[in-house]
Amino acid sequence: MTDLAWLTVAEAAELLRGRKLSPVEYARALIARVERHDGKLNAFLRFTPELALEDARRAEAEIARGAWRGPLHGVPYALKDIIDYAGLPTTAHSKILKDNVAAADAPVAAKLKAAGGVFMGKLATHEFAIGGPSFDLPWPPARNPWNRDHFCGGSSSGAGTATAAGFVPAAIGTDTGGSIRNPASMCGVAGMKPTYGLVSRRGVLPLAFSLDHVGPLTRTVRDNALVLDLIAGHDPLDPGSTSHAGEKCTAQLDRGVKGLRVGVIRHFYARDMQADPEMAAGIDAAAKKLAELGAKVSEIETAPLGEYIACNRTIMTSEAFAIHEQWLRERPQDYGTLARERLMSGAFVRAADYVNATRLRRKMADAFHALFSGIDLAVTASSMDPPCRIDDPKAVEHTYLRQARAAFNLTGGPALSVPVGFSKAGLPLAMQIVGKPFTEALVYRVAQAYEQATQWVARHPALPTAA
Amino acid sequence: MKDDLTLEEIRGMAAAIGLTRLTDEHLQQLLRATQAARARRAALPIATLGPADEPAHVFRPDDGK
Repeated sequence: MTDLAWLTVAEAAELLRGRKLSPVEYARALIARVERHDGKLNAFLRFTPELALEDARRAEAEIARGAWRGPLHGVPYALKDIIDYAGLPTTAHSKILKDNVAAADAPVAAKLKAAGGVFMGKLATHEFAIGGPSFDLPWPPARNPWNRDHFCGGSSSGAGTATAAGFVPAAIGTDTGGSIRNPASMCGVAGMKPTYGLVSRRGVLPLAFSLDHVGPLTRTVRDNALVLDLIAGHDPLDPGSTSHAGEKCTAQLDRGVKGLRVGVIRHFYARDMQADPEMAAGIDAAAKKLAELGAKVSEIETAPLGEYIACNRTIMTSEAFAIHEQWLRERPQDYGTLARERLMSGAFVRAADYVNATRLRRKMADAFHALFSGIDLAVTASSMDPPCRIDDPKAVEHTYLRQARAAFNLTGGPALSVPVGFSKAGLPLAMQIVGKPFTEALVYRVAQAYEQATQWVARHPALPTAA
Repeated sequence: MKDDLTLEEIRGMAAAIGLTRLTDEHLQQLLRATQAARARRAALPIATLGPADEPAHVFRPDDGK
């Protein structure tokens, strides 16, 4: 049997359903792996092996009596620690909330429980999903499994690290300006920011209400689609939740890309920001591969990346400051340095500037969606640079905003980061595949065709062992 | 609003909105953060907006029903 650490959700589901793999054996293997390696990677902020074994034993009994619940039944998963799991603290990786025990499950956690998943614990995040990587918090920052001296991205940092390290085949993150796709890009896994409102945000600590999204990180595209299908759905108690019932995410997975029109937003990474040459070459090669597979690939133009980023950040920092104002008044010293500075940048944004940013958002989204009369999907960069060293604050600050993800929190449609290779230093490279709202199935279809035509997902990092 | 703020000016602005517990180090951060926010404001193409351009999210009275 394959090393259990590298089983995909889809592979594990087949083995578990056919009783060729015990959920308890599977959970024990991943628990041992976390215990062996996470002391050097810090993916888990709260590791819960006892809960995992409880879930695994339940799954084993249910599957034995023929009550298989679906593809996550008996499969380990973990949650970014801004998502409520009843009975455990939701800390946001912050001293401010270190004793904030959740009274109830967030709907996303409840759905994964109902699907029979095996809960492994809460994952590291940048403080309040904005401040990191930080060394002045109660817990250390997660590190990149491909090289622990390098940044693993964020803010869903533990989710990227845990999936790439083979600690779990699936994790749930959140994304306000790129926080699912950044760790996915840096760690060489698939990370989906779904359409706004497709997954309930209730029970998830907000960063910015109008930009927050919840979504999965997995090692393969198929797994990502499987998990998103499990967690999507209307929540009448989340004001941003959509009742739009789209196509199943897995519906088009194996149809290939022949005839699909793919627009490459090259100016984001070639003109508006100059991507690292290895990153740009990786994305260009991926676009060429899609053309070889039969897609009609052309370059398209949208608004300059700087305008999207200014608009996203104006809205994000205004909404975030409104959420954090009271704590910043009463206990500013309890924030880490990075979160405090980033959150305070919303302190003096004028009301007119916030409103104008939301007006621009509508115009930019409408203009972007109009491009889809001539294309089916868009492709562009995710990060402009491969992961920098985590202990180099200047490099972290420099690369933090060198990204093309925030644009799609504004436009609201699905945006998936997938690996497109590795740098000469052995660190992951990535691109984004972007659709108009509710076209997740099409985005996954293109990503799947690309993944199948390349071998990036077959590579795994060699992990350091905890002392 | 003037572009070049001093530490004393930002201290006064912070106090006016109740941020009275910030240390000098925090105030330096607030100064940098405010300058960054103003740079973002300058990058917003607001001249392209017409009077009837609506915000991205507007109140809908049937929400939640």
